[in-house]
Amino acid sequence: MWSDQELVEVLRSSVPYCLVVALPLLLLLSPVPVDAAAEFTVYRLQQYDLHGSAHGSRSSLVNVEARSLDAGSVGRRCVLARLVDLTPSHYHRLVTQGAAALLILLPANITALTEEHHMLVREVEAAMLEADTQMAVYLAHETQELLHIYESVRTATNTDSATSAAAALMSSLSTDGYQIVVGGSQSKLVPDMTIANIQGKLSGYGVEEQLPTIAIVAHYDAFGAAPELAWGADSNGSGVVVLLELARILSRLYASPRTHPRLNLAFLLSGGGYINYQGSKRFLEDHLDASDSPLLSETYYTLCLDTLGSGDALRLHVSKRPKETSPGHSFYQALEEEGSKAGLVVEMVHRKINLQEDTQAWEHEKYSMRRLPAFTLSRLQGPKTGERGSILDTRDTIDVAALTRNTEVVASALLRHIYNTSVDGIFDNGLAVSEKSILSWLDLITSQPRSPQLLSGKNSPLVTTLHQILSRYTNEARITYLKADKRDPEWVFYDVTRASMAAYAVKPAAFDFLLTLGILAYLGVIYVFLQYFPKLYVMMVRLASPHKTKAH
Amino acid sequence: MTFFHFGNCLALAYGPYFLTYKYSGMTEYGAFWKCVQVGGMYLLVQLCKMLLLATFFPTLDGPLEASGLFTELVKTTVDFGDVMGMSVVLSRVPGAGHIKVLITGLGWAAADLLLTRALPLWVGARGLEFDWKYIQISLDANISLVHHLNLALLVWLWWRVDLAPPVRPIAAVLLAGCVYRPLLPQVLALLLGSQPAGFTLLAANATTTLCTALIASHMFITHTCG
Repeated sequence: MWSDQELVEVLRSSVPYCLVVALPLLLLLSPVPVDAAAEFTVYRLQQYDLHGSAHGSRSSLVNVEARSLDAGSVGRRCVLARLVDLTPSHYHRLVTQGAAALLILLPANITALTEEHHMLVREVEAAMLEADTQMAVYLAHETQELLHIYESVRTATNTDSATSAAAALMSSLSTDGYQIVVGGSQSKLVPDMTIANIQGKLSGYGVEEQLPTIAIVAHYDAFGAAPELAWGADSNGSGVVVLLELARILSRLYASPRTHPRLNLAFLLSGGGYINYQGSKRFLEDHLDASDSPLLSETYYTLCLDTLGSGDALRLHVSKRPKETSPGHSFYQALEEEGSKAGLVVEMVHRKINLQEDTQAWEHEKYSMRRLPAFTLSRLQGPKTGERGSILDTRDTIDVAALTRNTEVVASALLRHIYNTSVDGIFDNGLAVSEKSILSWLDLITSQPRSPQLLSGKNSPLVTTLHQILSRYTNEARITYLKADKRDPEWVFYDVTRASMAAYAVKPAAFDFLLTLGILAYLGVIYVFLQYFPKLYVMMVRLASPHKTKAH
Repeated sequence: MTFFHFGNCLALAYGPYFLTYKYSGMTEYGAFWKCVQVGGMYLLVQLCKMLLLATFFPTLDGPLEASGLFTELVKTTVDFGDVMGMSVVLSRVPGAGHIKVLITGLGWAAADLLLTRALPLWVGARGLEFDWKYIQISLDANISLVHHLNLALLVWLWWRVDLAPPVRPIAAVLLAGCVYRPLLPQVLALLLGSQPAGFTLLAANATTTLCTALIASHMFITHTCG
């Protein structure tokens, strides 16, 4: 039973063949395990097409080795960079050198950066969104883990320029390289994307069709390098806040017969403000081109609200100076008077519409192009300062006191124009602009990032809530959904706005080779030891013998 | 990390076993099948040990830190099952003394390697992630080979009737030391204040195992030449 030679022979002859079949099968069947050193959430750069030209990052998949920004060659690598270190020229260099991916680390407190850094970040954002690239670009918040990886990649990169191959190999023993992986599926079109316009109106006293109209417009979407980081508190959360507060106050005045003006008011929360004001464009098409809608048939002016969240200045941007006798001019005068009372600088900024450009800079230009008197009220000096549509535009940048004061000035100027009298007296019994309601509107609008693709669909909670608020204060509040043309879409957005990125610690192939050599040497030593064991044994016996004779 | 890395680990873990089998004269005795049988015995003993542990220490899945040195000590005492299993095997394997010891030790160690270390290597070393852990597991397998040969040798010595009386207590102490070897990190933690890990622990294991091996082989030599 103990020595079954035949069985041993059978086993010995068949086992190798079994192994030849079984091992490859096992290899094929067993999945490669995926425990990552670190996994973290990353936010992808915008990817969209506007007027046929592509913007942002075309790719969402990554499976390459990490390098730092100062590495000599970054081709087919994932570059790790901190936001403050990145400049537009860096970015262009990465694109031209064919880096496979870029991971930007955002500092924990992004608003604490200096003004110079803010400028730089805006420039980088503009550079990233200006054109399209095959590089996958991701942004992530700095964590301890991520910083550790970043530091280790930086030291590893420095060894690229080591004096000798041996030195580089030695340092690879102590430091880790990282393989950066983002799986999932390649980004694709957001199917059936919709942009919602939310509108409401307050009808004046008398026959509605014969009364003039003032339209108040604010686009409610936000923009930034990454959709998931586009909080847009100032641009254009502040505009929405002012509009909602105006709607709240005016709805009370319209409800009372004594203060019911002979004037219609239209409110529009337009969508797609950052993709060439698609919401306003659609609104104009609906109400000007369709003959059955009299809403915009006789408008005094359209007041667009954009970026009012801080500062000591209000600027009325116009494309054509209003005539002395026009309602627009009298609103401006009212604004000037109310502004000087509150200690604000109020000025009119004139900028002609550039018809050569595909996109309009301010929202009022859409209205001006249709020959409607319109202007945009903003704290900014111009449309292209970079402050609009940036990931830096977070809730913390809003100066609530300034926003409240701005709202007060706008509200009293509007009322002054509507009633053609000073309105100091009527701001009582709950009609005043209150900081409490300003705060609540602000909390609502900054409750989620508002890039257009995130607000798509009929069930977007933010759009539904805004609609509910407008229906509370105005009549006939409704949502209109617009879609891009199927065959020749003006705008197209892509999905994968956030992903899970994994970083695996890896060693270079040379390290494995070195390890093999080491193991072979070790096995060689054992072989020699076993070969000489009999001699060693004899030696030990000789050593032990005199000891033994002494012991006995 | 890669399949190549897995191959490296495998070579490091199994190479010494193969070399030991090939070049220590066991092939001349056709000992392969016997080693397999010893492995079967190992399986049986592990099963009994597990049953015992499950019966008397049912809350093994509690927090690891909570269990003190004493409970660990009691649990490790179950490993005397290994000693008993080896005794049985040694009494049934025919052949000269050193061949008996080699077959038992190698068979036992190989079965241990196959059952406890092959799976972690297979699952871990092929992954994308690099970790020194798998090299450590492989090196630990080599130490484990020496340890099991050691254990077999001591058990064999213990059952010699003609063992010199002054040597017997030393053998007993070494045997106990070998059985309680898994407690080494905890004991070191008590002595040094911090528990060694990684290569330090490996070095500590290797040192104690090699020292025991030297003493045991010396005892073997004095016994056989006496």
